[in-house]
Amino acid sequence: MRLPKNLFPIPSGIGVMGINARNLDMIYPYNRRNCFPNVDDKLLCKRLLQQNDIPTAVTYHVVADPPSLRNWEDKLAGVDHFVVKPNTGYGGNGIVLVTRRDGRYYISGEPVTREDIDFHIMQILNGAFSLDNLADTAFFEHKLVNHPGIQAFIPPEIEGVGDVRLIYRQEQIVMAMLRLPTRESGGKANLHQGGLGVGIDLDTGCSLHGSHRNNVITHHPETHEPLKGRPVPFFRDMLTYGARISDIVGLGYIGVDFVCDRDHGPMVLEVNARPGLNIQIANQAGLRDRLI
Amino acid sequence: MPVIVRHSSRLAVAVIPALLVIAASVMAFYKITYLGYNLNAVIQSESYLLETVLEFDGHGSPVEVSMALPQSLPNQTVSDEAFNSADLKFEVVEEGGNRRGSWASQGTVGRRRLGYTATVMTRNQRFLIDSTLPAVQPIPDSVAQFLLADSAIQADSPEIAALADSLGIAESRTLLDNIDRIYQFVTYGLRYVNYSGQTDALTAYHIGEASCGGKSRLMVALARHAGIPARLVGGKILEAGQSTATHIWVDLYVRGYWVPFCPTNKYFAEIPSNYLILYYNEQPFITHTRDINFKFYFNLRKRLVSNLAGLTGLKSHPLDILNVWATFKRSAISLELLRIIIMLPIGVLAVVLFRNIIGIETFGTFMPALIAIGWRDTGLLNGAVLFTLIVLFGAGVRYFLNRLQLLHTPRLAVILSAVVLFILLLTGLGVSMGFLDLARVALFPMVIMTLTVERFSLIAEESGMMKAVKMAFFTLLVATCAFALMASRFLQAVVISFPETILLVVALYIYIGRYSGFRLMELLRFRHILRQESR
Repeated sequence: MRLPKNLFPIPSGIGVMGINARNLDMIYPYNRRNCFPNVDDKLLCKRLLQQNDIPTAVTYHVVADPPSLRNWEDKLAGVDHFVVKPNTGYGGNGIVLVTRRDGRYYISGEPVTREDIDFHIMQILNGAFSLDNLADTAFFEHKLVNHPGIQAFIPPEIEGVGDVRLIYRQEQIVMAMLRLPTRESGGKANLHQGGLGVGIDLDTGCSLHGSHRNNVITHHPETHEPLKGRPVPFFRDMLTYGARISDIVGLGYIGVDFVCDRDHGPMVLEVNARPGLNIQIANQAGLRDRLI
Repeated sequence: MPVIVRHSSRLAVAVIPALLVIAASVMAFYKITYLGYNLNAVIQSESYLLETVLEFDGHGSPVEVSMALPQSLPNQTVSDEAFNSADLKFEVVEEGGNRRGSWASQGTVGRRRLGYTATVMTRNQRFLIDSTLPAVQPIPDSVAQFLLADSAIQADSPEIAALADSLGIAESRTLLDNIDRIYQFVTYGLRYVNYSGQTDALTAYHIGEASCGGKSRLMVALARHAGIPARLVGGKILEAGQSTATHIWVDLYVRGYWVPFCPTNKYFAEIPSNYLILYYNEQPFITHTRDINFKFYFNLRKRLVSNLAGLTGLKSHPLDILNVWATFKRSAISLELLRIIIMLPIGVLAVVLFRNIIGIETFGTFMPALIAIGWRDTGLLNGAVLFTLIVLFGAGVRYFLNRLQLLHTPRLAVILSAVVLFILLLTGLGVSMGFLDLARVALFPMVIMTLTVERFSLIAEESGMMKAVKMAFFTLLVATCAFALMASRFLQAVVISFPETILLVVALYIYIGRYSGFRLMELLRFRHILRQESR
């Protein structure tokens, strides 16, 4: 027994998927709850991927409790660019990009002290950025740098990394998009904070039109460059890696986020068990069409 | 780790709601048909919360205050009585068919506030007097005293006799005719003037005008002269608001029945639905010791209640467990608590509809319903204003706390404390300024408010103030709808009488839980590509 397919009078044959359909038709059948930790726990996810020879960013140091906060500077000796992340954060919250120059730390160009970084880590440990504010773990990770092919989509002065979101149903690629940081999003690639989504043609691996805050766009709103028709670096490689991940994490409907690193090529940034729906706007195509 | 695909059982999804609906229907049918549950018991009727406030200043000498109390009679039901007696001794005295509450102390110093509250439900009653009844009727000994004259009702005076003659009242006529002649004269022959103080029957006749008391005494005097036992009735006309006025009308004895008449408001053999009887015969509504700066007033609030008292009559049935109301009454759990518990599954309907069908975001999934519970004591408007004030205040505190860079849990504890202090302040202000509704804020769910403040601040920080304000507005909106559902007296009556209603909403939730169509807001979100596809 179901409510009529749609309670609202919209044109029939619409292949766009809403949240209700995503949950009922995709996430509940394909993603078993007991496998969620495999992706929600970023460190565990990285370990699973590494065991299967899928490249991920290097973890420098894990802070699970306040004592291990003491020696992080030793562990990061010689590392001048790094990221501090909450292990079970969501939506990019609590992620900080840090640069070290002449023994001093900078976050988005602003000088900060070691105590500031320690405080941020304590916040993470106390669950300030985790779901339901449960106690969390923080870790230091290698800071990835945009491949020139990705950087070409981003205003030059922006520090943030863009990523490639791939949606899989099991080993089958469903849809892909580039997520790009903008001035508006403060260097974050999150679409709800003003980042850009740019659709990717699955056959050619080239960019399509994009989306900005639920609107369809053809040009970058800040650089005014056209978005369409540029090749996404390593797209084939990403598809090869991505097709194996569903089986590795035990989840049948996932969003895989890759970063194309200037030095190391494609690396999995994280895997998402509840991938968002804005990818449809970026691709001007419905997920329902491709899935059902 | 191979992926395991599990699809929902379509059969179970279809069968379970159907079973729930059937179970609910069977239970309701059984209760109506075999246990005598009456749908009338569910239908709400109008009632009033009657509050009488008596205030005085004691100077150390003995104080005595008494007041006539209403009682349950064929035309009225009095329930949930409560007395506030401060440090005075209180007792209820029943005498001559009347009930009086009396407060006494040997010496009270300072201002005291006494009170009586009750829920009263009154009904209209009409009587038909047989037009063939002879003027002379048998008078039992018990009502013989209602033929006597007294100092205010001069039934034996020659002037009353002359007036009766001139009105054509005679033993040769019928009883109805005589009553009508008296009623017509007192009602239309005397002008109504709102006198304060007592007017006796003769004075009212002499000056040709009277208030309700004077008209009623003259009517009683004429009736007694004509051999019809008659008595004064004192009471209150029910109308929402504060007042001090009481009302007087008349009962005439007709063949074993006391039949009401009101010459002031023109009710013939009828008591209207807004008359509350407080006492019979000549007596003051309130008596009090002199020189104590005594004040009193009524405060009446209209309420719609279901006639749930009627359901307690089913107590003796072995399947009493079905009668939630009676069961809870015996378990000594507050009936107010029962109302909250039993209405919560109904209240979250608003949350479910807004989230899954309309698709708006609120702070926390069930937060709006929990906020709505907090409004039960403050009312909707005050509750919404207080919610806004507390969130704004809390967000202000949270903003300053940001500079201290506190850890998450201690920070929440500081906000909670600030919210509690703010609420205490509001309560104090409310009490001292006489806004009792504001004082009720003390019952606000503070932890829920604290979490709301925290979510508001987090959203404001992460996604901007616009988004936070928008979500606060939506939270208010959903809470308002949840409140409307939970505070509806009608729905309360239905659910308390038939708790199986909850099975129906569960069936509805399962049904909505399988809705895979668009949420209304998604039409907006995807409008650009939807438009394109429809081309």
